[in-house]
Amino acid sequence: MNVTVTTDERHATVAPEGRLTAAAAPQLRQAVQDLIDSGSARIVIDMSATDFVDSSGLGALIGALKAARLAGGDLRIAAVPETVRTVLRLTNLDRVLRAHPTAAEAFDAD
Amino acid sequence: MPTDARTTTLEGPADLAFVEATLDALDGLYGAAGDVAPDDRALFQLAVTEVVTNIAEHGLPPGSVHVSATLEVHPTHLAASFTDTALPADVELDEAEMPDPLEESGRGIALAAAALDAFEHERRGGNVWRLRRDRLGSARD
Repeated sequence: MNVTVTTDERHATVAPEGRLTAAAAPQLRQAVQDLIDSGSARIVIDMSATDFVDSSGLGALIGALKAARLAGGDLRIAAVPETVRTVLRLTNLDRVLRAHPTAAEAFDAD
Repeated sequence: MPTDARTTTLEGPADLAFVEATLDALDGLYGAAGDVAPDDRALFQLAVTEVVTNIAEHGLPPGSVHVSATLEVHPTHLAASFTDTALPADVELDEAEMPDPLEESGRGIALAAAALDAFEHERRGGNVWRLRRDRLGSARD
């Protein structure tokens, strides 16, 4: 899977493309950790190109959320496909990982 | 709706590459069937990935487990079975609970169970895992 990282003055965006499973989860964790290490702890996971997420992918998202908050920032998800929303609901993670319509507006309320 | 089952099989070392190969095979099967509803596709794919990832990550001894998989699309249901050579697993499928939302692991079996209508584990030398999801619109018992 490809993980694309972009940053602007408000937040960083990580866009995983394809299936977010055990094989890809370490890439996502590393991308988020690299951002935090470089001082960007306000992170949006843009899921517009994410086909599928399983429990390994969810674990990586939760780990990334905790790391971002520990660094004084936050992690939000955006452009979440319906299939991924279904999995978030099944695990009650829709309350922890708040979904925003687009990456651009994920931090708008702050 | 087609009246025949579509089946695909694969086997290999139980690793994360095998997980991806299984998901690719399932995608191919869905493509061939052409009429599997999105929810059925996604939730059965979820159950399949959880079970095969579990075998890859927790099968003992690590690095020497072999697994064979059968994936089936039937007019009324979706089915999969995995036979592995790991030490018999100590797992209670019907007691799996969803962990706290901030836990990073431990969701796999509970997620699979939530996505399936029948989920069985049998210790037979290694382990046999059987999964079935009734397709939406089919009679559920």
